[in-house]
Amino acid sequence: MTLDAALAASARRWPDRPAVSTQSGALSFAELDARSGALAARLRQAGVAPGDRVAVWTDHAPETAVALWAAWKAAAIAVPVNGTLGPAARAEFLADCEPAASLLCGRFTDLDLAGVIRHPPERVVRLEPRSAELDAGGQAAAGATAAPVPGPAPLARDGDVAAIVYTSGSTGAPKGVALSHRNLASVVAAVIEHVPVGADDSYLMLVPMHYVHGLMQLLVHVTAGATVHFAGDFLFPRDVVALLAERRIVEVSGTPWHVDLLVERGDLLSAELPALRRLGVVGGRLAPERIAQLVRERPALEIHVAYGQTECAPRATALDPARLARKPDSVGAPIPGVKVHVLDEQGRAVTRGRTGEVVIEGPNVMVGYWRRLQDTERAVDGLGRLHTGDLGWFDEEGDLHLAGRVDDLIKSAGERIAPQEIERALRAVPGIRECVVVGATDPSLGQRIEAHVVLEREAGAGAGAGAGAGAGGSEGHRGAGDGAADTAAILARIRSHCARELPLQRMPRAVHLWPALPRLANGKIDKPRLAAGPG
Amino acid sequence: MSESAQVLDFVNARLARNGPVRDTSLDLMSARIIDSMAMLELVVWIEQTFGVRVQNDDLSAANFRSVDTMAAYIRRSMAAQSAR
Repeated sequence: MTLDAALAASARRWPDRPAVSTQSGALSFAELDARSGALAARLRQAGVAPGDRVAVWTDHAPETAVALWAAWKAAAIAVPVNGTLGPAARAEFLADCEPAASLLCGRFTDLDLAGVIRHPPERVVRLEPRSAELDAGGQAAAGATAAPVPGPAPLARDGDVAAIVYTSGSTGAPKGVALSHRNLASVVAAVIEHVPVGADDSYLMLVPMHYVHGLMQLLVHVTAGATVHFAGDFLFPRDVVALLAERRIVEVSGTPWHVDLLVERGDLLSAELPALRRLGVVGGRLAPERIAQLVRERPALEIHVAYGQTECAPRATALDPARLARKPDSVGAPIPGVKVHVLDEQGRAVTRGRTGEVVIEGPNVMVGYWRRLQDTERAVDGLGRLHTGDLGWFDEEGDLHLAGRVDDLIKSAGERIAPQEIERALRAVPGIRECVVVGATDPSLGQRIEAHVVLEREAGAGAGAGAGAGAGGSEGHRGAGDGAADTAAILARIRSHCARELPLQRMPRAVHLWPALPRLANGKIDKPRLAAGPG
Repeated sequence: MSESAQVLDFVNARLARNGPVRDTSLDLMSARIIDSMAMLELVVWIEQTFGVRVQNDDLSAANFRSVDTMAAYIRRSMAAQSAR
């Protein structure tokens, strides 16, 4: 099924139910269908042809959904874009996908694209909520005064590219991942089946809409007849938790970073949330202590851990929530319709329990990277299988466990070392809140093991403040001497712990202390900034 | 250096994208300078620089909208802390 057909089906079945909403209002399925249809007609009138790219400057607003489906109803390719891109990144993006139209949503309706876009200015549509522009588009499509819409509405086919999603990789230039209607619809169907998602559900959107996870959740809930509520900017975790209560939200999902903020800064665990049934975790690993805490304090909450990449639309595996407490390190079994292989360096399947590269086969594997044939050939083999670059192994129940990136393996003194092994040892040291281990270039070792560490508040600043109070009223102002002494004590503890737990050649050669690890907007570690040091 | 000048320096060094912020009353959220990641960075920096604990209740638009409101919040928190 194509994505435009999925909305049409929901609009027929549940015309009056709310499809997408914010605090300021909602669009029903019938309204979402009608508005996106009107905007599609307007795009076609303005000369947008099937297969053209339509840039959607996404925001947390129902108009984002209108814009996406308008592109699909015009058989065009939707390209969700991050409106906060700087001028250079924006130019790079526009040159790469060459949009034929620009749809501006939410806070980005006032963007000035003059001199930046190459398409005719009348193909810039600013979608204000309940906008005159959009209604005018609808009237123009129906009215007699406007130019006629050329020919019958084009129909996208399953194999056509539906969206190009730019990946925010930790290194290198962003690449556009071309996903077909079939790619996205197959994952949507699998998610609705395995979660399962029902028409009475409501989902709170926290992640940005230019991320593939946001796109997928929108598609899942619209296809299932459920409501997507947009949370806005996620600036204040307490406000998000208040929304969960007020809108009687059934499911929310995000990265471990989102979950940590909701728990630590939003008091999620003490909030009264009778409707909340599911918490989805993607894009990283929730700390085992956090999982134990959630299971203990919110036993009725199902925690759905899933794994995939943008390149597989974006889901490949999901863990049965009932197994999470027992195996917090697993990302679960392949979703319906998808096969997951673990291969060695020669491309042979390894025996169960052994680690190798995770390779994905199924209808979810991307069409390719947009206009990057060589990159596509590196990622997708002759059998149409996606080589993820992730390392993993299957346990005896058929659940996948991730073991880092192929590229992240540290090659030190001829040995290949998984950084996760050293991170595990470091996490056991009292006073360490977060850590990441990387290989730094070293003239003799090849790579040198270095640890980047964030200390617990109590172990670092807090302990210093306590000592300062005793010395005479300087509470809250950490004395430099005390801080240095604490730091030295922690470093000594790390050294002695590693000496006990790790072989000599696996000891970190340097430990860098950070107030907080540098992260990208998607919550993943910013490797270049990490390598530059805490400064 | 005043709290306001320190906050302004931090915002300009770490968060401002399209040229430095000069107006300390500028709404940093509407100006799209503060996103959720930047907000957390600010909170960690404030806690470490000024030795105050930002309570979850205090993490609100009223306190974090502009350089001025953050500076006022920091001064209030420091005063409350030394009074305890």
